[in-house]
Amino acid sequence: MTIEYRTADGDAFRVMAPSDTSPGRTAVDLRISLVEENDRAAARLRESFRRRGLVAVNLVSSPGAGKTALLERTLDEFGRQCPCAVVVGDLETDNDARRLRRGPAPVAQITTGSTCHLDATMVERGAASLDLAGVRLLFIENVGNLVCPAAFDLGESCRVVLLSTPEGEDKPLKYPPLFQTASVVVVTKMDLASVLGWNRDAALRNIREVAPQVPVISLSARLGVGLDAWYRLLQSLLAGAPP
Amino acid sequence: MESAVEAMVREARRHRAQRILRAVLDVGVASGADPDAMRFAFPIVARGTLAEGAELALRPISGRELLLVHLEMS
Repeated sequence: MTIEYRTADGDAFRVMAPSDTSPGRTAVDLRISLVEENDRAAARLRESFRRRGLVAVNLVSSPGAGKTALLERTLDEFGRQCPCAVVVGDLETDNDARRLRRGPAPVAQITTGSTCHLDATMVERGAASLDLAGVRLLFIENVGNLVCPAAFDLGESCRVVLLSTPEGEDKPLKYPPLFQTASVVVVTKMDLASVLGWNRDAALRNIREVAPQVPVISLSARLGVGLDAWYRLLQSLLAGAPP
Repeated sequence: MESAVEAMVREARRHRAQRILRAVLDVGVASGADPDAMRFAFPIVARGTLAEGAELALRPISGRELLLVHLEMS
């Protein structure tokens, strides 16, 4: 015997009904999509960003790769001519939000508890808590993680994957799904490259192996080196999204 | 992994089950989900839920879908 269920979209799916006579063990066949729910929320977000003329940038990396440092500098410099806002996710604490709130940009901290990534409904709630009037650029600082965030569309126009020099050169080979979904790869902490003996050619080769077309920007947010290429990228995203 | 465990627990409750014994997921190779990471995360996320101690089976499929396709419970 089968039972028919309907999803919120009206799609029917059938499952085997449990047998009342089974000896304590019930087995059911299902077809429940686990990406659908997030994709629907991401589509809502993308549409609301588009209506506002707002460009959303999703920053993803390992913990400690320098997402917050890059954003601090970006808000200080680029944020002067372009109104920005930030939604930042962490498992616990609002340390990052406090670092980013020194300027005028509105910042929402999302603490995810045990969840290792931001999903689109969290970003919807975070964005709704901010006054986005006049804001052109919304940065979404994801939870530090090179795995789970790859699977969650947050309605962004641009996914920036950061790779810091202390992580070595082979992260793209170890975590290909995230690098494959990157719109741009930003190599951070270039000021440490020489002391670490970091091999730029090997890193670029590894990035190219999993994502042959992706643009790569190298910078040091601490020293302010290479940031002009990053700001040019942000400018080009804004040019593609008229207010 | 949270969404997978939530879906399992929701189904298990619907069937008034006490415990999830086994779950099968179809994982699209282009879904962005990493099977090794899922196997690692599952027992952590499932702790304290009806899915604690359950066996997780992952089947690769083409495309970007991520589907819960089978559940055994008691």
